[in-house]
Amino acid sequence: MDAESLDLLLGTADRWFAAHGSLASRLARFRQGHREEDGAWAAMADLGWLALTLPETQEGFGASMAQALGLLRAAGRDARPEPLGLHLLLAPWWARQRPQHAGALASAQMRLALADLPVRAGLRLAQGHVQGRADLVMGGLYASHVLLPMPDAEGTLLCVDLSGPGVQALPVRLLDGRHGVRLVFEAAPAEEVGVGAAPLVRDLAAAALVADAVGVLEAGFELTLAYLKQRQQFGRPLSDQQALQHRMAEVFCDLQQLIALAGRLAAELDAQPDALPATLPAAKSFVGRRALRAMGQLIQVSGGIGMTEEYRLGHLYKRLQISATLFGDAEHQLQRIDVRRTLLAA
Amino acid sequence: MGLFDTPELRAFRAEVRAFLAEHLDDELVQATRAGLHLPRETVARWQAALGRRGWGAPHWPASAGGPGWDEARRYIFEEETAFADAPLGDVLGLFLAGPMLIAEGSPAQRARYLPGILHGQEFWCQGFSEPNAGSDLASLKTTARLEGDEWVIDGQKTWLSGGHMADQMFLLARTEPLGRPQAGLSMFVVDMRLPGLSLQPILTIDEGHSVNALFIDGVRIPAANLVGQRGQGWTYAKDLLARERVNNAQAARTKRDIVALEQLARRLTDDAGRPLADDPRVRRRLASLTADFIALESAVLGVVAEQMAGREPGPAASTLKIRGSELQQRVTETAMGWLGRAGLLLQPGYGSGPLDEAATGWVERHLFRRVVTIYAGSNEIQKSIIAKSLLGM
Ligand SMILES: Cc1cc2nc3c(=O)[nH]c(=O)nc-3n(C[C@H](O)[C@H](O)[C@H](O)COP(=O)(O)OP(=O)(O)OC[C@H]3O[C@@H](n4cnc5c(N)ncnc54)[C@H](O)[C@@H]3O)c2cc1C
Repeated sequence: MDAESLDLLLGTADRWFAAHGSLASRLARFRQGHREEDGAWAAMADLGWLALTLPETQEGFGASMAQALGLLRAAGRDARPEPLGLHLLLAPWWARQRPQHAGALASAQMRLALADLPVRAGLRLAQGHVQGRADLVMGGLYASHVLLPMPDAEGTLLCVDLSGPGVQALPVRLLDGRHGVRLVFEAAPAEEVGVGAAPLVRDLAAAALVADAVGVLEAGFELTLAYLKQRQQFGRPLSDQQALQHRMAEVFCDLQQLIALAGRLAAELDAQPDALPATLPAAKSFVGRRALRAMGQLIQVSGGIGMTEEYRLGHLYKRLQISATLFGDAEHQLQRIDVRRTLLAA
Repeated sequence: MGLFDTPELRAFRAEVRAFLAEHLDDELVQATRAGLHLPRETVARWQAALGRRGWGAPHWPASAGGPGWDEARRYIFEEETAFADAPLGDVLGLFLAGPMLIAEGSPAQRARYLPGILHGQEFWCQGFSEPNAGSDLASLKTTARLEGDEWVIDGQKTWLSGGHMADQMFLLARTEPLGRPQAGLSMFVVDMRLPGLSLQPILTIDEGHSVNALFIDGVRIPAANLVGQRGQGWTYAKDLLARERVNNAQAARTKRDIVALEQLARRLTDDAGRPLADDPRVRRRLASLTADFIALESAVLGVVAEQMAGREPGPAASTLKIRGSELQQRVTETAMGWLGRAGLLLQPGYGSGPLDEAATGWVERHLFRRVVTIYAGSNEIQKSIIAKSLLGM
């Protein structure tokens, strides 16, 4: 996709986010949490966003992951309740597995969710039917289908049609107030998508969370920087205090590194779409270690206001905590890093 | 041999345990485990039991109603109540208002207010911070002017912890508009039911309600509600905040939390089904938290001994506040890391806590404890106090 058409497509993003359930409007009624607006998916389909990363041969715009990053960052900045990142990363992969679904993905008829299942999840598959439960489902509230990475050594991935029989959805909230579902399957018909696909799909979801974290940390950083320049204590702006300048400079370093990591991750996914991206463990563990701590620092330097539900920062912090934890937390990702292979590979 | 391992102290510990076994019922324990911001009735019921026994305020001098313990007994008592999951009392009354009134209040004020604190009958809140006077507290704008035999107060306060449960407030207000900002402040006691006061809840990121904004519009209090000398409010406030900082180290409760963390590590399992507690990294983490705790506790005991000997803690309390608050945050961050997914799922209703029982208490504490490095004078301000008043920098 050329830069000009991309600009055109994404030029609307900030405005659309502002006009449709913006973070500001959700904060004003924080007790209701971060819920998707009805019709958000249809609207995003109309904007062309859902086709963004689908290939041109399949009714898509053929944007690279590096290009899609711009939209995901904007979505992270507004702490969007719609799981746009999951969609943009999974859609092209799904369309390679099931070319016949490309149109449905682009039009929002098919909306994918992905469960983050513990390795020892109690899910069982027997004769094409799945039994058990999935507590943590990204994008579950308005999804049409859920992908289940099975807890087996083969990396089996199942797909369950949520409108089919044997599926029960229980409401739940995530830490940051997003609404979701827990799914209970009782002999729900399940399709096997591809043996060995589970690790890749999990890494794609993790990459979406990294991209989201960029926007989240960036939004928290900018909000705090502006606040420190405006808030007066001891007769001058807080931004004059060297102790705070250094803290902000530290967070800035973290933010720049996170941006660079996300860009590198996207480039890897563009180069080899079906391989586990080599940078993912470093990038994802960075979210859990450094980005999360940086966000804690932003609350600290904001003072009491950073503790309140009416202010953005806490919501961003809690969202980041989710991104840090799901699809492989920092500990887990660090364990995946093989030092010699990572550093000595050409 | 442990620090408290003498026959007398062992006997004392046994006495405290016996009292707890008899008076601390399950309802109180469950409330303390599950919630961060306890309802007034819960706190009051427990405080009343302590008050009847003469243990309402272990850190107060005997002349003011304290039990006359030394620092070892005081610490053992804090430890035992923490380990039994007894509710914390009304911290604002017990640790802030009470000691200030003991130090600066008139005999009449002490007689009027101290028994209510000891027996859990009256709750307190602290009216210091204002929207534009946080770290720079001395710049506060709320005024009190004398009209006949009444003070008339106007202004706005914020962040009143427990303001919605309080009967009384100790308030810092400006009585002399001219001169150095610190010089013109005075301390008052204000009845929270007076006309002209209006409270607004502020919800915090743990989905809890413990703080409030307060609007003060021409509130009239008797002249006798001035505490100590007019214009000396800043000095009293500084002493009060230093005392608060010792308490803010929360050593005994942190010890309890580390033990709970260890229990959590036994209860949670890794992907292979082994208890987390068997993982060497988990054990190392627990050990390093414990070592840092022992360092904190050692320092706390030193300062508490000074305090029990009647000396004010001074700037050294800042070190306790910094290290104590950091440790509290590290403990809950560790718990969140271990809980993983279980720490991310909440009940459907706002403010109704985590879905998984293993996460109960931890998630709220983790979120709310972002504040411990901010309130009671932020850690940045503590570091400035250390640099200026102890290091001559
Ligand atoms: C949950 C909660 C409960 C509270 N309870 C009470 C209460 O009961 N009664 C009461 O009176 N107050 C209470 N407070 C207020 C609390 O004491 C203040 O939040 C605190 O003093 C910081 O003030 P501020 O929030 O205005 O932050 P600010 O003063 O605006 O500070 C923002 C940041 O700048 C830093 N900073 C400020 N000045 C400097 C400097 N000179 N050098 C370096 N860094 C600096 C601070 O450390 C902080 O990180 C409470 C606050 C909270 C959030």
